[in-house]
Amino acid sequence: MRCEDVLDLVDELVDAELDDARRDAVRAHLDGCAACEAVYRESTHLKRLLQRRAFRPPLPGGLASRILARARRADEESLSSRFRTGVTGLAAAVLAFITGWMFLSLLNPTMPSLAHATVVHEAVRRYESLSGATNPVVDTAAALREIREATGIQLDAVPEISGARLVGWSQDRFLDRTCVCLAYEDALAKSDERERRPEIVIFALPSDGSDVPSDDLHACVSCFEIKGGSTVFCFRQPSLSLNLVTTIDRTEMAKRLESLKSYLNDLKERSATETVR
Amino acid sequence: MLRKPTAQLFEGLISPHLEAAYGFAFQLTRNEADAEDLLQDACQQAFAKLHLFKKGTNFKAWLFRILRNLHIDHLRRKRREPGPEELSQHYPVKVDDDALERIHAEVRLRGSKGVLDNEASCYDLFGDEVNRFLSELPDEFRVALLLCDLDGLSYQEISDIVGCPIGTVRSRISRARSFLKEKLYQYARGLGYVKESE
Repeated sequence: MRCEDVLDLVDELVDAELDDARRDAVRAHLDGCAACEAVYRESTHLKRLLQRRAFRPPLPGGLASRILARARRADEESLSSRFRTGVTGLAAAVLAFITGWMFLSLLNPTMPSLAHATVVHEAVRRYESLSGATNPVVDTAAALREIREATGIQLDAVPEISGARLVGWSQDRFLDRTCVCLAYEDALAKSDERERRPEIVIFALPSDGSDVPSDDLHACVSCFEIKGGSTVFCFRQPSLSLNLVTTIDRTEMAKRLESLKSYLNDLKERSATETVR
Repeated sequence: MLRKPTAQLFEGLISPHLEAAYGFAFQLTRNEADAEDLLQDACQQAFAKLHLFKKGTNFKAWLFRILRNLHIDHLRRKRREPGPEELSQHYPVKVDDDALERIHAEVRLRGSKGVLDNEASCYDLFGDEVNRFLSELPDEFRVALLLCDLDGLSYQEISDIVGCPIGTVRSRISRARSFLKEKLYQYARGLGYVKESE
């Protein structure tokens, strides 16, 4: 390497931005070139000087606790408002709640991952065709009416997910029962994005009269509406890393699928045992 | 009866970065009261949008991006409000892009002057001057350099935060360093610490 090439890369070496090959080449040059090595040393020392001397005001006293307290308050308010409507009907409601890609993998584990999108895209297409728009604004009242007529599942409101909006719904089967798939997308996503992709999918199940296992109740971060024997719970099962309010990360899907399968098997076994009793 | 994992999760994620986030907010606003407001707004927004944070990515970079975007919103809103652009007079005169380019070329050509050769002695030699010289840098250069050197963010993360190509980040960091080297050299020379051999 020539000196001028090395000098172009010195800052990136200091900042550990070079790939292995270029880093090794630059280092090899520095070993034999005192002038370039001096420039490298100068940049390194400048970086450390800034780390020592650049002024950063300390966090004002109490600010951290104010910020965290505000978050806790917001969390409590959101939980209590959602829980209020749900608590009276808990005994009569069963609820399942799963993020979409993982759920569909479970229904058919051999299905290629891209095919998981079928139900979700169907849900989106439905509203696109209804509104004739590529970025439909869903009429939630109409959606609830349609869901009730088509499935008998009555939600008195669409579950609200902060930052996400409903883009469509469709029917599906889960545990041999009809359920509703609600597709959400990031409300902040740009409308001109070529590929719109629902990022959150939830399933609402009609009640079969069984209780929600208490472990699951504690694992649930919020529940939504109860009416007509249907409840929507948002589960947050630590062992599954299941989090409704998250974007779906396909790379983690396979990993989570295994834990999801065993969790649902347990759930099935448990309800089978209880039925026998 | 129900746990509150969102707030707990949030607390765990944000606590290690509050100090740095406040520092970044201060860099952007240059005013402690505004930095505090900005940080509070950003944290509130980060909490509301926590579901959009992608696990496995850098939370600090994500938070800083929110800070930066909010800061731009605040500036836009301020611009719509009547009133003089009173703040600029408090700031030192900024070096312009052409001068930065020229200084960069000169510093690169002449190589090291040895001012920063000895790490320990440069801590003795340079104190508040460092901040004075930093404040002469145009904001986008100073911000990129400090996000890199103080916050330890990668060029890619800085590029995402400030919304410019990674090549621009690289170039800003490099030019900012050349400028500081030159200023520190001039300062040391003024104090008689540099022998004029050439």
